[in-house]
Amino acid sequence: MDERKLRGILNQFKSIKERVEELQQKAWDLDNFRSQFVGR
Amino acid sequence: MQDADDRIDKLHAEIKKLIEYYNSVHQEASEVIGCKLNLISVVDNESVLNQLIAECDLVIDALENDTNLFSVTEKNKLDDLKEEATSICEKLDVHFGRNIEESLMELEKGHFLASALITSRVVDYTLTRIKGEKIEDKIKNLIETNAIEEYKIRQQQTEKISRLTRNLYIHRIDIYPKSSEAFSLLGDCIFLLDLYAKTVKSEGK
Repeated sequence: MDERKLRGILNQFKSIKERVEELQQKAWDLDNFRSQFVGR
Repeated sequence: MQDADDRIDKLHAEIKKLIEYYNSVHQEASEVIGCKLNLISVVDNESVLNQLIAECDLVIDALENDTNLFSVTEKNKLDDLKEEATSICEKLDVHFGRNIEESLMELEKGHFLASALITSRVVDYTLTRIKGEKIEDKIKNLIETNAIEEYKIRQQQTEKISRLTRNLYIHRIDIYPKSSEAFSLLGDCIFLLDLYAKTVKSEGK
């Protein structure tokens, strides 16, 4: 398999994982905001 | 409150977009790594993000351990290690060379634990062959036999040998070497063999 292609796929999935972690952080921040100011 | 609702809607939209992107590329990655990745449904469920991370980890682990993915620097380092090991092991018993060859082969395949374990047994065996009861005596012996005068080099070499004696891969089952650690261990082992080979020569063994 072409090394550049493998590296491309690896980087693609590393980026997806980083993005998921950012979104998890956003969800966590929002959840805290809601429980602090709005209540559940 | 309206602001919070807007932010939640925006977050849901971003998650949906990311899942759609993952679903559009997961098939090709499945074929490349030889393991079926799951299609993730776009539902409002907290666990989808964890599921996405698990699928990404499958791809990342598989590809990071692929030998084709050694960087140019690592490939050059591997070639240098091979060359250095061959010339040093020629001066020693044939089994030193055989073990180092096996360790290099495992390293090339991306089997870092296997490589580190083979290297470790060479390190352990070599240390038992060096004169001196305590490790400090062995280090002193190696450095003196090799007539190393300069303080800075003595210090560096002492540190390298001490690091080798603390080799954790054979004593701990919860430590797994990364590629850089397996490389580094093998490099230090070859350095030890070089000093040992000179010691053997000077003692006329």
